[in-house]
Amino acid sequence: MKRRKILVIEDEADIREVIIYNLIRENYDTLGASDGEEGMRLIQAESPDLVLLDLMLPGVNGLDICKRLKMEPSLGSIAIIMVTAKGEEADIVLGLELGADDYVTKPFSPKELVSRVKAVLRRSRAERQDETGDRIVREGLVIDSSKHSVLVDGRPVELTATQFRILRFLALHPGRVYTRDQLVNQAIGQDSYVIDRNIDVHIRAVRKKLSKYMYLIETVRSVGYRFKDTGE
Amino acid sequence: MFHSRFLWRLFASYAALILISIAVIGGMILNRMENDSLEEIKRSLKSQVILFKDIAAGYLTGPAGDSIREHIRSLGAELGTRLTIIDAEGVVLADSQKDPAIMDNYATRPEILAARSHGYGISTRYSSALGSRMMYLAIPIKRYGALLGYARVSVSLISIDDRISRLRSIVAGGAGAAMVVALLFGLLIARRFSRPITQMTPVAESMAAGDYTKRLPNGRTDEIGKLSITLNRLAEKLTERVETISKDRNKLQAILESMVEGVIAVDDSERIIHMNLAAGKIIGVLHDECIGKPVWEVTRLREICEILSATIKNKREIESDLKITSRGNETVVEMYASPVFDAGAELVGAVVALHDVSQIHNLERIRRDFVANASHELKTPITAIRGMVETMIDDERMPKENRTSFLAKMRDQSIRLSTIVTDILTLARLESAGGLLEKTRTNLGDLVMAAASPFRVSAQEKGVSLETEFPGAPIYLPVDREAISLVVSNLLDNALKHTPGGGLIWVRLNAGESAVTIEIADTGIGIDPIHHPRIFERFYRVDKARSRELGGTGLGLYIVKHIALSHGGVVTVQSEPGEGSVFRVVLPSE
Ligand SMILES: Nc1ncnc2c1ncn2[C@@H]1O[C@H](COP(=O)(O)OP(=O)(O)OP(=O)(O)O)[C@@H](O)[C@H]1O
Ligand SMILES: [Mg+2]
Repeated sequence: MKRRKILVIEDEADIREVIIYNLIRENYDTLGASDGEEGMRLIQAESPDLVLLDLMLPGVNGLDICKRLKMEPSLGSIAIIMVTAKGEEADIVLGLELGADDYVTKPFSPKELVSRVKAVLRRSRAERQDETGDRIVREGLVIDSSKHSVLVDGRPVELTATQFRILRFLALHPGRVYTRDQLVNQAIGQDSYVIDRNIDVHIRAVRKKLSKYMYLIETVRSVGYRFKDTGE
Repeated sequence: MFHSRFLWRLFASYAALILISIAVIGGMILNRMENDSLEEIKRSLKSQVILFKDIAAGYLTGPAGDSIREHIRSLGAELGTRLTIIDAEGVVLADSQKDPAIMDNYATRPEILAARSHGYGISTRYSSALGSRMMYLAIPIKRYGALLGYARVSVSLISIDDRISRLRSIVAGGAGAAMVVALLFGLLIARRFSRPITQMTPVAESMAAGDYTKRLPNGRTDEIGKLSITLNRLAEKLTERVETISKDRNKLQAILESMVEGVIAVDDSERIIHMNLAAGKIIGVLHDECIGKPVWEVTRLREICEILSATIKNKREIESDLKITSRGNETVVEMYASPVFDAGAELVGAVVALHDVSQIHNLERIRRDFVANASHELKTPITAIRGMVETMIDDERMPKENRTSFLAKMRDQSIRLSTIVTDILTLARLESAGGLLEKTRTNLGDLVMAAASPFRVSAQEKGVSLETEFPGAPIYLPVDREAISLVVSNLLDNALKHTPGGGLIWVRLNAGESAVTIEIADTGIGIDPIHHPRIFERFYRVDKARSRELGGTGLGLYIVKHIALSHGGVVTVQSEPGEGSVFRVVLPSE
């Protein structure tokens, strides 16, 4: 299998070094950049598979890079994991809405970072293979889009159209955090009238109906929701 | 006075009353007198006709002789009445005053007609022949049931008519005289009644117009007197009430004007009814020129208009924020709007209080920024250390050189961490003390010398020469020793960090007339003037990466500035890139 290439944009040399050391150990090709300009240059020149992006950068900041990446169609497929300090939830939400795939908060453990990198890379591959997701099976949960039905341990449960769409959307991308805005826009569709707060109500209702499996929908405080990545 | 309509009305009705009563009474008297006289005449005519009846009967049955005609004439003259004998066909046979030959047929005269049918006829009419009013009385004369003719007596009513008309003029004259007297008297009475009222009118009118200074004359004991007393009391009460109201109003006005919060009150059509000084200041208009204008026209601030109209619409209190940016300054205003109801719980408008929270907001922002910056600064070394430690734990087969390098980096990062913590703690101590320094009289030369001495070794190591220049006479100043030595060591630390080998660093002490200057200068890399205003800010570093390599957090100069300010002094910088830097801390002497 082709080795995957990861770019680490981080202004603190020691942190950059330790991240790169760990990625190399996992057999990834790595590149390092200490500021936004250099990062952008390397992205264009090397087209990495994934970018580990510090949001607080001197010069061009992380969110700008995120925006530029997702605006450029040729670079849109590059996965992004934001590396931020806690207390920057607003930036995290913004980054996710701009198209970042995941985020890690400082101080992080290298092991966790590596597993996030793996998950994101796996996901972006999986999405390309199975984009329809007609039948999603997660633990004892079966979501069938063609029949518009949800089975919990074989027993059917009733969900409203909106609830079904939210559940299916989250289950289709396990491990990935979605902000409330993203859920409204992507899962429910812009035409229907659901305002931010309503998402919480819907999620609560879905969880209740999943009963035993309600742990599968995780709340990410001050950011949004995520379907538990069970590593399937 | 004579223009008073009340007077004339009173007088006119009085006059009409008198006139009508005189006319009625006079008329009744005259009428009664006339009737009585006529009745009397009728009675005498009746008795005369009875006497005359036999003469007439004789005349009608007997031969008509001149002697009888003569007898009738003399009898008529004697009685003062006119006697007439008429035959059954109405032909006059004899008359006491006229020659029957030239007289008309009397058959159709009303008294004759009545006499024939009723046996008795009476009539009063004007006789053109005699030129006066006459009363006629006729009876039929019968013999054995056959009608022979009629006997008629008549008398002129001229004397009675004369008497009546005389009487009428007497009554009229008397009535006229009585009228004049009565009317004069009436006018007097009317005046007496209307005068107090006409006097009261202008006073009451001026009261209505808001002037309560005039008072009505009193002293009368009747209803009018009571009325003027009541009016006077009313005026006094009103004056009192108006005074208290205007006093309250002034008090309120004064309170509103001296308030720090801006207050804007509008009516229900969103026109300004009140706006205080502070509100004018906050939104940048002259507050007393705004009364009566629509709030939008005055403020041009969508938020204020919206909160007011929403308050009026929903009839409840609303809170919101407002940001005004003018000439680069941002004012943050908290708005509290509440509806205003009148005594009848009817909505009459709304009032909004503007609370300028820019300062609180700024402080809050500074504090938040500080926390964010500090935590970021702390998180960086912690992340590096944690990353390296966990990597070393996980990777048991880590090559030796990596291990050694990681360990060295971890040591540096932990030193950095402790520097940051020390800086933050120093800052916290300085700020929480609130400028409460422990000042003691100190020989500044000794203090600066002591603070600089630790740097001699590292300067020497780096190949930088460190020179000191103190005046001959010792300088004494009450300072916080610890703080001032922190100033010196922070500035020297910076100088040494930014001066390459072969450079020079001076520490000078100057005593001027009113101030002492501690000057630390170097021949290092210098600072571009665009950074000068910012280097004294917390966490500000000209070159972040470089400063980090040198182990800086950007708190050093902030601490210097803080200490200088809390000693009543200042710190200045003079520097150009490549030409070194001069930092001066100027402290006032006593
Ligand atoms: N003598 C100097 N020559 C050149 N640059 C300087 C000098 N002194 C300060 N600076 C610049 O000003 C910045 C702010 O200085 P400051 O002392 O506040 O922070 P620091 O030295 O980076 O960190 P700290 O002093 O908190 O360890 C520095 O990062 C540096 O870029
Ligand atoms: Mg410093």
